[in-house]
Amino acid sequence: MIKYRDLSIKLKLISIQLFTTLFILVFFVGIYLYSQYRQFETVAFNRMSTLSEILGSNSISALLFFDNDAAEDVLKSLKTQPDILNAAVYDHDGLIFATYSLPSAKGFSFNNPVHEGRAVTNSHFVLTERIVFDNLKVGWIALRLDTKNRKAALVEALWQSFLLFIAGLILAALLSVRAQKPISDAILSLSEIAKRVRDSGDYALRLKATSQDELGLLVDTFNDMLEKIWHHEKHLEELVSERTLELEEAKTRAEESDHLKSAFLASMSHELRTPLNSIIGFTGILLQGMAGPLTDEQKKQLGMVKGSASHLLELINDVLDISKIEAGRIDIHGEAFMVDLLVVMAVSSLRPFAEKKGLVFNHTIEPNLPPLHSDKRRLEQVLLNLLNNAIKFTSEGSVQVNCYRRDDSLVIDVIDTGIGINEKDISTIFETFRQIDTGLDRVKEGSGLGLAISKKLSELLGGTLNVKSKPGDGSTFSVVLPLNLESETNED
Amino acid sequence: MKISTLVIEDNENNMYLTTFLLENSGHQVHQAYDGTDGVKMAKELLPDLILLDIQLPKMNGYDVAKSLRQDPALATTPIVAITSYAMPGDREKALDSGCNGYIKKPINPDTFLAEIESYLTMVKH
Repeated sequence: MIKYRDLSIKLKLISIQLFTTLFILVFFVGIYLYSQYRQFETVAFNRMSTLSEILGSNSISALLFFDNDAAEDVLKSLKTQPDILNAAVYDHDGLIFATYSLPSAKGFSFNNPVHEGRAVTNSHFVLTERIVFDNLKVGWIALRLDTKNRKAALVEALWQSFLLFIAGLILAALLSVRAQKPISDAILSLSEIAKRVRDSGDYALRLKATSQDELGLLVDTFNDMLEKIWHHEKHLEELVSERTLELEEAKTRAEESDHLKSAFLASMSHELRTPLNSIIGFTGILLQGMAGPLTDEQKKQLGMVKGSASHLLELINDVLDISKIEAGRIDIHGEAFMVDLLVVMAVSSLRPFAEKKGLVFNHTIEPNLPPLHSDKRRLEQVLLNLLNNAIKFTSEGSVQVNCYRRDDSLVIDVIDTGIGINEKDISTIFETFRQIDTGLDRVKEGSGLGLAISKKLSELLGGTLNVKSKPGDGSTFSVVLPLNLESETNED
Repeated sequence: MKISTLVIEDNENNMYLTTFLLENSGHQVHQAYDGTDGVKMAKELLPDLILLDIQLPKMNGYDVAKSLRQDPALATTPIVAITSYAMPGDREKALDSGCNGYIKKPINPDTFLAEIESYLTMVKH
């Protein structure tokens, strides 16, 4: 069942008009039928009255001469009136003087003596009137009428009303369809525009007002609203493109400065290395005695030059490394290699340095380690850095390297018995340009960048670098790298 | 017979250093101080070995290597880049432009000659 409120405006308008018309039609048809019903009675009595007047005056002489037969002849003229069933003429004393009946209504007899007036029953009308001659009452005449024609008349009236009713409704429907059109069209086009604006986002669309009524006002208001939204939208677009432009400019500037930074790095690296090349080269030549024999003192001093130059080179390399890492400009070249070999090489290259300080320098490597897939040079850099630090910060005792497998990871521990690290310093040792102030031994040689570089490199290799330490008890640095066993089997 | 080596290098101190080391180990050294000169001399002399700096006046080392490789007479001559460039990709760029090797400055006088020797033998075989 469709509810009225869910009908379209068009149907609502049409139905309002139709129901109104229907109501009015029913009302007027009712009145019409009732008046038809009433009118039949009036017309019938008027006719009977005219008839009785004519018949009465025709019967006067018969009454005056007491000629019953003449009166009955007068009444016989009623044969032309098929709905007059019975008639009677009364004499001056109110007694039946002459009677008339249609053959079909023979059994009826009028009242005797007379009762003047009108009588209405379901099926008959009876009219009794005086017969007057020279202002003197000479008798009465009575007529009885069959009302069966009344039903036929009503049925006919009903038919007419029905046809009028249908015609009225059709006319109303046609009119209402035409009359609702401007209203529902206006609403439909309004909703159509609203839909198009929603779908296309084009707020420049406008609707044309076709009337001056409330709908026209609604259209005008709607247009105003679109206008406002359109302006707002335009303003927003301008704002967005403005911001986008600013962002792009900022991005370009950032890229430029990044590019400049990289170019600066490359050029600094180049400029610093060029003079160092001569310093280190010629010092080497002189120390080798290729340019002639040297005294011991000269050798000692040249050795200092060489050491300082090497340190300077180390510093430049560290600064360059950290800058490259921070600028994201470091390349990692993965390859499969045997890590035990790498550990042995690193340990043996630093062994003279450790033995010179009188340290015990040992290493253990778990047998049958799988090959490691990583950047060999970077891992070597990390390991050498950790070993260098361990030896540097340990004045007596040992430096121990343990290389083993733990689950799917490779672990390299570098354990020293050196000065150790305070708890509060542990969190900062991996930061750039940090070197722990030991109080006694203010500056150990180094840039302070080694641990920061090592940690970042370990992370770039997909692993971690951690430290455990207690002041005075030494430190343990652990590099943990994933073994990537799956990719290794895939490659095989 | 002496190994004939062309050194292309714009820094005088470094040129002196390289020349000194090479001559000490018996090379016959020819010197070019810029890129175009280097290409010209290489084509005239057809040396056994070319040591090439990358940052050079007139024509950079990458272009020098490329232009030398186009000469059939120099197609297999070992060219070793000796450069201070140490940014990622520098090594690949040098190898891509036709160098056989790459030695980063500062050079280590203790190992420099051995490295040079290894490139010479590597290319020969």
